[in-house]
Amino acid sequence: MNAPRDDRLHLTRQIPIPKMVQTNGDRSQTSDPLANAFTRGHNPHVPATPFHVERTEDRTVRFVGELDLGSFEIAVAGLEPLLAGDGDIEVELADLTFMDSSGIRVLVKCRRELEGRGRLLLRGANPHVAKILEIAGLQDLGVRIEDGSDG
Amino acid sequence: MADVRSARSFPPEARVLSEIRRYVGSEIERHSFRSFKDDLLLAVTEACSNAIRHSGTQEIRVAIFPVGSCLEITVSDDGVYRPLVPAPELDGEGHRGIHLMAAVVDDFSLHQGTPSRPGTTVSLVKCKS
Repeated sequence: MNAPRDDRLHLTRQIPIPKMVQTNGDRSQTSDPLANAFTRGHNPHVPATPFHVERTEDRTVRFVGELDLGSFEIAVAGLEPLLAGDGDIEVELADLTFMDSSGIRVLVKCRRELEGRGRLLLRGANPHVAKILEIAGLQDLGVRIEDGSDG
Repeated sequence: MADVRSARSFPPEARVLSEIRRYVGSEIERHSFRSFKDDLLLAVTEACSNAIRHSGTQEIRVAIFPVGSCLEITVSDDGVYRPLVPAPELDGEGHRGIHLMAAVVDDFSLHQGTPSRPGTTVSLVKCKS
């Protein structure tokens, strides 16, 4: 409907401009003697942390991908619709391949906002995610943690 | 000084954390420390996240040093270290990263950047038993 009238101009604008090297940041100012041994590792075309939330049932969501500081807000937003209502919330973790303290923050925030209205149930975490949940002490906060085999 | 076998720098942005893990993960596998991979990727992510959130640095540098049966990974920045609460309140939302990081590695050390001498370096070590 609102396509540009000049299609050639439109196409021209779509051609990506290669920009592989970041040039800001003056290494001569750093106190780290190793700084000049480093190669620039970052490719600016790499997308943010791959992560999304699927709502599989009314009170159940599935976390898919990697949960860190780069996907924290996506996880918080994914739980918001469920926190608007009352009742237990179940989070399926079987497809969560990485989680750090940002993930713990998401879950602790969810548990606290659900206080008195329902419980938080985590299901199917892989062994390393389960280890992080245990170190963080989520069971001690009243979060139920179950393996994925059977309810 | 140990030989720097592999090192890269990244901008201090949360969206590069996944890329940092892919880089560190491939180095860990190259050096046959695969059994440590999950723990080290967690620790590196926490260290980089702290630099991104708190230090004000312009870049983050990640270096990997195989030393005998141990693997050391350093995360350094040019910023100022903000003191974090070492023992997180159980129900609090913040400052869990240091606690998790220290729990999953064999040795953990922190050189703190100050306003007069910026530059924080976190060292994370895992050893084969």
